[in-house]
Amino acid sequence: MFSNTAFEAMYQYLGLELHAKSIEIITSHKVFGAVALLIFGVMFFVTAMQFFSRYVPGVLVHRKMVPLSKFFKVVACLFLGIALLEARTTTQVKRFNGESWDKNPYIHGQLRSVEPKYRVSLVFDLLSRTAEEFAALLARAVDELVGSTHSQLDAPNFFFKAIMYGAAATLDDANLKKSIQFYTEECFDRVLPLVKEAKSQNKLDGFFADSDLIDHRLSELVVQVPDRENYTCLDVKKDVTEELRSYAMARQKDFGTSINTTLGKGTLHSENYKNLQISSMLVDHYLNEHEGWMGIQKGSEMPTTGGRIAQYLNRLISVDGILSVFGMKSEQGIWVSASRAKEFSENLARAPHVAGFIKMCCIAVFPWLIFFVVAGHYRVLYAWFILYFSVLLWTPIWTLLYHIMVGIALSAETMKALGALSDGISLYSAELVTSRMYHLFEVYSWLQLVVGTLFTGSVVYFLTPLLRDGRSDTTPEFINNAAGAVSAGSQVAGAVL
Amino acid sequence: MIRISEMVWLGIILSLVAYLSLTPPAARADMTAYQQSTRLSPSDYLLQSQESMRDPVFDSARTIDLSATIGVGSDCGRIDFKNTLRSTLSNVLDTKYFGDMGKDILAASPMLLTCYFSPTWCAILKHSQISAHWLSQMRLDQCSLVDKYVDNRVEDFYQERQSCVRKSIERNGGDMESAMQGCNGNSLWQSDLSNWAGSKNGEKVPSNRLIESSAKWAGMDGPESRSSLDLLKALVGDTAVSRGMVSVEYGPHRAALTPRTFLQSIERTTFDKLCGGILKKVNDAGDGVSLDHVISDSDLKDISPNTDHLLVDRQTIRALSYMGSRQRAQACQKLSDAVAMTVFSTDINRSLDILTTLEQNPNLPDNRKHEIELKRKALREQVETTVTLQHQRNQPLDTVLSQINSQGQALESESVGQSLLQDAAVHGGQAVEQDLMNCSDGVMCNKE
Repeated sequence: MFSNTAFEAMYQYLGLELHAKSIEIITSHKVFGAVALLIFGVMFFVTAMQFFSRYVPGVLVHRKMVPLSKFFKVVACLFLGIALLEARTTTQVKRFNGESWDKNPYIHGQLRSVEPKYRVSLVFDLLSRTAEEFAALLARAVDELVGSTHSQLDAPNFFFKAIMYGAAATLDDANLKKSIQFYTEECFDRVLPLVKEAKSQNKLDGFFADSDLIDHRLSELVVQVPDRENYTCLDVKKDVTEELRSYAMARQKDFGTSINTTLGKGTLHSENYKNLQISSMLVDHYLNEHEGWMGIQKGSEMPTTGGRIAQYLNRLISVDGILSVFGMKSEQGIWVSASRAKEFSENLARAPHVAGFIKMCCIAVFPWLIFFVVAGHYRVLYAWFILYFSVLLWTPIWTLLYHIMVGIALSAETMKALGALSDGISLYSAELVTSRMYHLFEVYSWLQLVVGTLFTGSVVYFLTPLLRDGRSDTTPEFINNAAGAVSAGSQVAGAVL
Repeated sequence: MIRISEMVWLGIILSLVAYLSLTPPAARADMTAYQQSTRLSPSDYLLQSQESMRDPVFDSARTIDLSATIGVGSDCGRIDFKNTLRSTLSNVLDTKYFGDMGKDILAASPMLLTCYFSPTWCAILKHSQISAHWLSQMRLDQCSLVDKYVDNRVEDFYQERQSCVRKSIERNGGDMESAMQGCNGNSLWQSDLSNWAGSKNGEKVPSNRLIESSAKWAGMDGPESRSSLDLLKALVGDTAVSRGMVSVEYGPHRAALTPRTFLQSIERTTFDKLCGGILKKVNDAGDGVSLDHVISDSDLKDISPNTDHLLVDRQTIRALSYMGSRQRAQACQKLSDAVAMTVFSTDINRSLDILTTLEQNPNLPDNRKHEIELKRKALREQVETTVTLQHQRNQPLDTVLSQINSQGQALESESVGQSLLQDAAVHGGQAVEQDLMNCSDGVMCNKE
């Protein structure tokens, strides 16, 4: 069994656990065996009655020509049903690269005990493995054919998640916040009016990234501090950016390595990711310090430089600005990134949870199909297979969707913004990238759910009629005729008497 | 005829009403915690009073006796040349004060000395046809000058004697010397004065009091106006002129009151009655007791006995009782000050009205009328200054304190909000990190 997320794997493990428990219950309780035998007995009796109706006079019963092979079918269904409970083979849940999920921390955090392998019946293994392998083949094909930044099967949603994780960076170092505040209030106002000629670049970015023009102006401004001599705004900038980089590096830990190995030399790498984190921290800092509830700009009340920066940043993101104006967005400032990331993680888990739950139900209910199979409805196994397979096909569909959405996300504008982040810290670029990713993934997460359920619903709707028997089983006609004769005789006798 | 079921219902309703009326309101109980608060809101600082209620400089002052014994020698008729005229003659006769008249007196001084040291020679000179007129003229000039020179406290006696002398001169055909001798020339201060209260109260009296006599003239000598007159005397002093004595009396207060000390005394009294008396009663009574039972109308009336209506009602007392301890103390003092100012205004207004009325007394000599006028003006200026300074003493500081606290509270609130927001953001960030780095994808794992 394959799964590219631990959410689905968890449900699969749960399904396998329930599967094993179901087999144990059915086999350990005599009542279930008795029910199965009773069903078999009834089926055998009915078949025998149908078969032997040919030897009864036609005046008594409606003859039905049932071949002798019907007995074979009944017996075969009995053995097939018993085979559903005969757990002689094993199965495991693994990632698409073959690695088992049983060691995954998330799985261990959710489930009490996870076995590497679960014993299942041969029939279940045959059906599920067939479906899984076909679906995996399709998923791999899609992933390799349309994949752009990374493999969705090996690192699901990694690109989006990495950006949202970077955007959720929070600056909680009080000294660093004071340094940024000091730098902003002390130097920004004095320099900004002096750099009118730099029209082609974002002036604000130059205060944190490399900018010869801004640096030159900053070096001309002396800051009077008691313990430093010839201390200029350029020195303040260097100190602040160095502190920011150290802070971001400490927070990043070894995630930068994961980005480099997972995404390769793509659009996002450890260097611009660090800049994205720093930029996001700065954006959060300014919005948090100068933005009030319901979109009221504190900067408009206290016209500080930080307040004006917050205003401009908020105007840049039109959707948030509109939502704030109409009071539809209660999160402001530092809550924006946190709530976005929170919502993102919820969206991320929604569709896999649905898919995993359906898989769990399919796996858990499989042993209970014995009663249908013994009753001769062996086609229920086909139905189960189709349902299970259709759910498995969600993964390649989602893979296709994911790569399409990443392709859209990496439009020229976003690529330009990521390029700006490669060059250094850019508040505008960070806001643009995270906002674009957030809204695209929001669309993607809903598409995941809609497309998956729609697909499975369509499959079940169209294929179920094909799986039905052409003719339903009925009681032999001679029984009905005999019953009619007895009824007529009793009526005649009643009339004579 | 009431049925049993109706009686049962009636009993239930009465029990409910009794329960509700005896049960203390829940809101009151909930306020207990707030009443422990010592924090003040910015607007509470506007209720702060900067009045000291006491002034040790004036409070320590005892009976002030400004009586003056009119000294022998300062009389026109009995000039002590040795001790007075001789020593100050050069100053008195300075031309810049009296012009050429001083030269005449200077010229007359040898003859005056002759009269003083040798009555015989003086008699010769006095009866001399040559010098009699001249001497009389000079003596009158001299007397006029000395009258101006001496303290006006004795002016009443001079005027009394001048009146007497004038009448005697008219009677004896112009002999001034005999007229002066006849008008208690040697015991001027023992003479009775014209009654300032008017002739209906007696033609002559041994002593006159500026305010009291004038009040008597104005008919303000009843018990109703006694307290107002006593206050007036304490504020401006009552000039008493009796045999040989001029003094200032301050009535039962026995000490001078300034408008400020008077206001302080009212504030002190009101504070004691309101904050130390009524509010203490309310506190001691505790929760759940109606204020109507705790505070009587006389308690409220006692806060401002001189006013027609109650200045503080029960609702205000109830509002005060709900306040926090520190807030209540400040509000109570501010209320005391406000009540005191109302009482003060009423009393001072009445005092000024009385002075204005007394000023109309026709029995008063002009200088005494002028004295009352001066007293009235001085009192009015003092009151205006007191009120203005009291306003300045309170409002600027209270306003600044309120503004500072308002700003500080806003910044404090902002700081607390930022701190909580930052705290929540850190926890939110950690929650987000846990969600995103939960290894659900097998890649983004928090390794720690």
